[in-house]
Amino acid sequence: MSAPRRIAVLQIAAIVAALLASLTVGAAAIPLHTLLAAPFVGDADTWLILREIRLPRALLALAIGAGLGMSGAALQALLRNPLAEPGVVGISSTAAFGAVLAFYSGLSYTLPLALPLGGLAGALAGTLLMLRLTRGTGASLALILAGVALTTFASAGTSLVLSLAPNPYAAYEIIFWLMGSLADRSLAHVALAVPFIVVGLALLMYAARDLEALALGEDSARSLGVDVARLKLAVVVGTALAVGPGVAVAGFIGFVGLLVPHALRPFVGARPARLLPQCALGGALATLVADIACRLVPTLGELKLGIVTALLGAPFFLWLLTRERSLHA
Amino acid sequence: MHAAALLLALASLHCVAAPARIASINLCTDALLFDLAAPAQIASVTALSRDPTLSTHAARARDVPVNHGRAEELLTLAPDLVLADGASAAATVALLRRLGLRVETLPMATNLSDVIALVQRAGDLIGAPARAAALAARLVALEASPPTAAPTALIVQPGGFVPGPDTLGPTLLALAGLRDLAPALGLDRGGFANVETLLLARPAVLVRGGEASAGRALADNFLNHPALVQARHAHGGMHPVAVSDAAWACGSASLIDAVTHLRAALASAP
Repeated sequence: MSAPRRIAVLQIAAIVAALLASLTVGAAAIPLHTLLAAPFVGDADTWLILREIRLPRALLALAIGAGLGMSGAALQALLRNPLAEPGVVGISSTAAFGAVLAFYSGLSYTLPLALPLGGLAGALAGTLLMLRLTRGTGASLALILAGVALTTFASAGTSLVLSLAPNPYAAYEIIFWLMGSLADRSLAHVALAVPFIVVGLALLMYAARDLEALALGEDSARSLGVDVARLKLAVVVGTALAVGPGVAVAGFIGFVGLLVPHALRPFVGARPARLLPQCALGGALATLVADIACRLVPTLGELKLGIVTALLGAPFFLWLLTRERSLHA
Repeated sequence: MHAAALLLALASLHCVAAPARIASINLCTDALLFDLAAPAQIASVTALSRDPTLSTHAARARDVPVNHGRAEELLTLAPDLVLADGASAAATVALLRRLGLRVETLPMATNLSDVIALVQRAGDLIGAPARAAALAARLVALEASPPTAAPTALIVQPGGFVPGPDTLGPTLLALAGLRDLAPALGLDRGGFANVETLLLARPAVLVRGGEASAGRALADNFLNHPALVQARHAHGGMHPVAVSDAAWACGSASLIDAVTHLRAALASAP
């Protein structure tokens, strides 16, 4: 068995284990044997908790994580910059802003699909703006500055909308949108977000082979017959689909798309066609494990998922930054 | 001569005891002012009192000048007495006193005897001891006639927040003859419930805010989680009763209305 295939099998095994673990961990302390017996003995409460609370939560973590992981790898390949990631470059923030507008305006109340579509529109606008701001060069400074500008603007917009919202509870929800969470999500959220994410993952996979040609530069890619404009469009739309609707139901979850490709590249290599699907698996695994950690840390209420991923991801980002600087020095 | 001077002094004391124009800079002292003061005495209340989701006196507050608890507003009003909450706005209170205004602070009430003491003290400050005594007697009567059956209950505010003993929430449940499940959920100091533990604890009664709040918030989704809705359909329980949060937020006459409303809703429940 080749190394990448071995890694994939390992990742899938770990995901299955984490999935089972995530079904056993929750606010209600239910013994393992009760959980296992629940579907068979007609224990309606436990079955409800499994099916309507813990399963949707796990499915969302897997789908959202897969979207973040793969889009992180795709952006890094497209921009030829190791620092690119939906959170860092501002896409997740603009997605949250779009979802917040759709939700608090009451639009998603009459039309539930408006919520993921709002996130999608925000992510699409963010991705296009980011490409425009960096002029597609992918230089680190331009990339980070564009990310800072987009994140600052979108977070301020989110906070402003929530502060102006007539509902007094809205202001407390700023932290949810800026520091995502999967607490008490339901199957309705799964239905709203997961189909979009799956289409986004498929689109990014379709772009993966052409992304390989791009590693040699745009001109070389063109000489190899790659339609660079179409490739960019596929990555932009794929990223928006893979990230936006997830943010719309779970808020901003940062750094997954940064950590996962870097963690996997040494094992599966940098070729996008191989790296992208592995990053989907890795992102799913990392997000699910982080979400289990949220439930295990004893805090009033529940620890926000975005806090866990940021605590792990931000130091790594700083390390990458210093390493990149020393390489170019 | 001496007797006359003493009489004069007493009369002026009495004038101090019944201030002609009173301003309040806290939502809860607003409520006491509306409950106890003569309409002509009320110089100003907070703007919050005009919000029907926060105040049970919203209609009356529309006819009264409002303030936002800022020192400048109160200086312009120049009231004889300013009522404030003891815990909040310490800087404003200190500033107002330095500027020569008479400011009296009242504590937050967290149980029935607190509320009774609060009403009596407010009555003395406002100069309406007889009205305060009548209200206190009605509050005392609440405790005399609690219903006997003790179904389990939980107050759940938007987002799953369960008010703790630093509010009148537990008092409201006890006076309505309900057994508060918050301690059983590990929320004996208040905090956020979650869908899982709420589903398993399954209180017979869920007391939720009665006012439809303006606009949307994610917090509204909590009690509409499919798991809770399905559990209620499957085995009953979690009977929702709407009681406006504003009615029991403050130690004032509206607490009596909240208890009466809750008792009546329980009596007519299936």
